[in-house]
Amino acid sequence: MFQQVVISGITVGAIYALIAIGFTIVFSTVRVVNFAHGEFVMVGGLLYAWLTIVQQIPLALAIPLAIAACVVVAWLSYELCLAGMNKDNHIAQVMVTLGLGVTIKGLAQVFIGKDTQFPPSFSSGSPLMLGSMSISQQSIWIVGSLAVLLGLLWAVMQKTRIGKGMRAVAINHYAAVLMGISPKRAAIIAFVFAGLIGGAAGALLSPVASAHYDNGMFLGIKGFAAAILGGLGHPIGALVGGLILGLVESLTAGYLSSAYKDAVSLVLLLAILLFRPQGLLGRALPNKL
Amino acid sequence: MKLTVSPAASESTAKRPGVPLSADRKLSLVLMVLFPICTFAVTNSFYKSVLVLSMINAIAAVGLCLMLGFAGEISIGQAAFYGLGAYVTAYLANQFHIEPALAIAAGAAVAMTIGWGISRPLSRLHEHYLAMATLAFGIIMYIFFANARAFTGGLDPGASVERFMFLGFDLSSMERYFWVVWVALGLSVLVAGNIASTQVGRSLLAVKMSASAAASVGVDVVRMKAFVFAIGALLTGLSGGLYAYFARSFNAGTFGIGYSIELLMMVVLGSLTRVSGAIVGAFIITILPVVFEQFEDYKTLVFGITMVLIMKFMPSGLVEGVLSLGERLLRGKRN
Repeated sequence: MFQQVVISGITVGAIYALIAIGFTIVFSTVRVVNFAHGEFVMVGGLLYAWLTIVQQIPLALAIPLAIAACVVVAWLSYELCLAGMNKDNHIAQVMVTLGLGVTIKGLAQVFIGKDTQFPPSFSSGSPLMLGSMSISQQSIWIVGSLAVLLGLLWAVMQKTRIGKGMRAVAINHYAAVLMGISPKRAAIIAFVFAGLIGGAAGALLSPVASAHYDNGMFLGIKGFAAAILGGLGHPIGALVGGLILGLVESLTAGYLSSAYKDAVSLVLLLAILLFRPQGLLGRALPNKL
Repeated sequence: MKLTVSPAASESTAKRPGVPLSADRKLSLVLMVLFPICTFAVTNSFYKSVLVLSMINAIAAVGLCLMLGFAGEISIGQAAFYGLGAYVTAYLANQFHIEPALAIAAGAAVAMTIGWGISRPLSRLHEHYLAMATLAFGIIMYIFFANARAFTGGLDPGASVERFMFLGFDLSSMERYFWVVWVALGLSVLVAGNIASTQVGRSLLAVKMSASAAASVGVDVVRMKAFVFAIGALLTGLSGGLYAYFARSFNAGTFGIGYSIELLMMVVLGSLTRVSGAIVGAFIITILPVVFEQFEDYKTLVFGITMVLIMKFMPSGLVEGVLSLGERLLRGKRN
């Protein structure tokens, strides 16, 4: 029982970590908490389900198509909504991303429908047996994708000019501008990455947890909880936060009450926000007042 | 800082008969007169009930307008207070058979206490974090409403209340309940208007512009934030209690994130700096599904697009933006 709970915790935690990375990238380059990020994840899952079930497109094509659509949605989100907004009006920014999330949800509802969909796993086959534990193939896909995407992100951030530019914008916006780096381009790339990783998270999750147009806000807030748990702006923090959150949730569901598992992780989010807003790995920020 | 203001320094219009009413108050007064005219004008009882619902929503929207518009404290968890008001009212009325008006007052008081309680820790957070924290609070309360079935009835069968009686009179028919809600809205608008036009309102605006600057001129920032959270929760709780007797039977589904976002829409659609704007916004959002029959299917999409457009191009609210645009055009013609 315990081992099985831990395995499902790690699987869910890996998904939360993927969602958290999207929040982290966007927050560090654009300084916006993207309330629509959960909807990117929802779109990834829902489109994957719609393409495989309704359109009968083979898996190998449906997965990249769904993720590509998410990238386009994320890019358009920045280009049409956030670009050119007053950076100091944080309330307007929050409301715009919130409205954007509602818009994406509305589009999914109108064009894809309100049905809950259960798409197939990425590979069919019997679960892997390790002693007495059984690990489903989708879990392996999820954890493997997390490792690959984290590695890819690390390589882009450390080795390429684009990644270095994005890190420069994150460290000091004005100094980066003086060095000839376009913050707008960095922001677009940040959103593209968020869409890519978020869409992948959605597609990976949907065979395990089904896909529904109304899931986005929930996935988003869980991902944000994971990001803030590890420290917003920290890719490794996102990983640690996601895994902790996944384990806490599956332990709660396994031993306490499955009805309140979401409440437990949200209480954890509130506690972290109030007592350690810089996260477990982050450095303390100077307090304003 | 003192919440009471000495008469000499006060701009409170009620105390000084010589000072004309502010534009916001005039507009609120006009709206308060328009509601009864509307209810006499429409004969269909369904439309009458929509009017009552829009006034109930307006009370909650006025509360959120004070929080978001004046103090800059964003809350995406207002549905929690709405639910608290409704459930506490229903619980007290069903378990202890107390006077409905008292039950509603108690529900509002409980919502206010909880709003004040969470504002103390939340006042440490700023914009994005505050929005996320209130969203989390709203979802936690929703999960509680849906699962604590002994207290709330959950999603099924939900909660229900008896008819609304006041001092032995049955006021539950829509024509009579209209006046109950009208009085409650009138009181809310009066209180909100007083807050807006006195030192408290100016302190809230100062906190919104810069908490540090406000503190440096003697505004007790934490206390102002706690105060506006408490007032916002009080009005939203009151509106929840009134909703309980309006619907008579309701379930936890009413108090999800969707309602919190609708409330934000009402404020954004109206004005972020005028109490009267919130009433207009509440009215528009409430009647939209009635005017357009197919609206329910497209509601989410239309709300989302509208919110993005308004916040991007008119961040002080739609009605406000249109008014100031009109003002500018008029001035342009005169010159």
